[in-house]
Amino acid sequence: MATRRASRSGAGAAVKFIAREGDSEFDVEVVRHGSGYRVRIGERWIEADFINIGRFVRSMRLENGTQFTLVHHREGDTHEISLGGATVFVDLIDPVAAKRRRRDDEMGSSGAVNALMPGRVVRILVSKGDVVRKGAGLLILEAMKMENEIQAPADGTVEELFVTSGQTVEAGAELVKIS
Amino acid sequence: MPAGMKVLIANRGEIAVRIIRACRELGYPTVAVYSEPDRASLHVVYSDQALPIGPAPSRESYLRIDRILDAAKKSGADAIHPGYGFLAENADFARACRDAGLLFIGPSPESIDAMGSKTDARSRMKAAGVPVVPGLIEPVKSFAEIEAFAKETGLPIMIKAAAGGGGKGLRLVEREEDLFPAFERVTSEAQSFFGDSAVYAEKFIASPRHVEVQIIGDQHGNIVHVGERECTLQRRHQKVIEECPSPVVDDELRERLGAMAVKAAAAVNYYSTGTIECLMGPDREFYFLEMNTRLQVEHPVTEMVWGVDLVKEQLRIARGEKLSFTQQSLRRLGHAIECRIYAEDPARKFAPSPGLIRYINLPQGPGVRNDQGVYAGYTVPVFYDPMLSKLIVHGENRDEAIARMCRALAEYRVEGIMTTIPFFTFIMNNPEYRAGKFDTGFIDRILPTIDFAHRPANESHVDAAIAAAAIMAFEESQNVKLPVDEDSQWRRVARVEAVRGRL
Repeated sequence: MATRRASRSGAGAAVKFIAREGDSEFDVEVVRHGSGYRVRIGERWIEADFINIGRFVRSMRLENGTQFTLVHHREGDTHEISLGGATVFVDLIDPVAAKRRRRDDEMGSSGAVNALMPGRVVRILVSKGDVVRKGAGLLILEAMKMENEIQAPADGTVEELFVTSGQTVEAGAELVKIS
Repeated sequence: MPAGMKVLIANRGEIAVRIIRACRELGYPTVAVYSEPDRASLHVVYSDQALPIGPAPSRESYLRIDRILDAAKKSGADAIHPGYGFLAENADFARACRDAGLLFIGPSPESIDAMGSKTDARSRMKAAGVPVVPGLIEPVKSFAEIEAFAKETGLPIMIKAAAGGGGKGLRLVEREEDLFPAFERVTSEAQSFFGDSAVYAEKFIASPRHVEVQIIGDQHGNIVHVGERECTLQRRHQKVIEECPSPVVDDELRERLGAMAVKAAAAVNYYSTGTIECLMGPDREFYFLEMNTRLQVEHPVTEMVWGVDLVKEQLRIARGEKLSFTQQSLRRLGHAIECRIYAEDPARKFAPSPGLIRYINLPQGPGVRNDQGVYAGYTVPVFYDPMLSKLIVHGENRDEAIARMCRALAEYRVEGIMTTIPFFTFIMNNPEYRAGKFDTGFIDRILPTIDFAHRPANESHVDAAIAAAAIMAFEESQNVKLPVDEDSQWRRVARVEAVRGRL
């Protein structure tokens, strides 16, 4: 709702990222600008109007009028941007979010461990009742033909296992509960 | 026959959707059947009623006659449309429907049987005066027969499985020393693919075209032809692009083809839709290959050009009605092309590309038709044919149809999985294709010359993508509510008002 949006995004606030594309790395900065945005990529500034035209789909119009209909997909920090005819993978690191995540970890966040992406549970590495240290492997999730180890977010005891090996899971599905 | 009837569609995907559309226009309620992974398929969502018929493998679901008849009984269906593939050309299924008191929307089981075996069909056609490719009519009993035939007609010859189809179980032999190994291989393939090791041989027509004739007949003895289709462009012996009319068929040849097709259909007392497939040499001499006793995948190009609805016509014919047109009343208009859009990655040797469709934009506008079986948010399963959709365009002439197809392919976007759209764009721009000069080997010849590698994006694309990614991440970090998700206060107030009024 309009009031909440205004209170959350301070007018003119810039958000900074580090972007990696191929072998290149750029400092990126985003600021609201009228109905759209101004984005700095390294030394270049791009002005873009950005319109939500559907789930995952945005229409982007650059200053010179060039238009793109782009489809967005995110796997962790990797953004897959399809421009129709060309697909670009951009890794975005948000320095603030990274710091916040570190702080959460220090405070000892615990509880549910969810799947970040859809995939298949290849192996379960722990059993109910196991005492685990932060960072210990809980299970292996295969997604996009890659095996990813899902780790304990904090020290604790495995209270519940919601999945079995071989099971396919949707993004966001609860995998393990740690207390 | 009562005024209405409930139609069960014993199929899936785009063809099931196509049949439901025809039923809707005639006011008939529809029943879909589905296997476990198909519970969210478009044909299921689109039907009035849907019943599960078993697990993923076709032999445990879409090929299970007992389960389909059971679903018909449970839903109170009066008729069954088999679509194409699966049980469409299974005479036992047609018979089982008849025995269960259900209308089978297709030809009689006797006609299916008569055309079911390629060798039986060929001898029947030869007897009826239909030209067939010179060859052994009967399946051979020994290799010696094939050897003698090769000596008599000369190489090259084709060795084929008698029960074969779909491009499986056949081999071209060009050299004498390859004759025996090919015979052995086809025999064993015939056994493992079709459960029948019988093979036969025929003369190989060099640089042929594949032209087929659409026929349709009613149960009162009327049979007409609805022109030809050009189906020469094939990959792995599967059609990928079809056209109506054929660029090499003129009025005189069309009349001869049509007369031949009607004669062939009449020889097996055919009714409903059927297709006579022919091989045509560069001299435009044509030979009967086989008859498909069903609705054909590529039927839409005929519908666009001849202004008929073959599926609705099938439904009427099954009810015993007469054909709604005659040979004389049929008129041809313009040119139509169909591309079969597959979930395959041309850059990876057309490897299947199943998965979630994150976004799909089907082309629209003048002269464009989509017969699709998918939607955004649908996961293409790994168990079935990878065809997503058929894109059909209609234009005033072939040139306009090609330009329209190029435009439609450019509008077409599918994200999340790879498709054969880039492949079709390439073909549509090929000068030989544009000139109508091709044979069945055309695609295999030009494929190695096409570079489907995903080209690296240019700098402005990369900049745009980085900016877009950053804006998306910015919006996420600011928890920006997008308009699509936003629940309007006005709407909420209106809803409260509406409820209050009712209380």
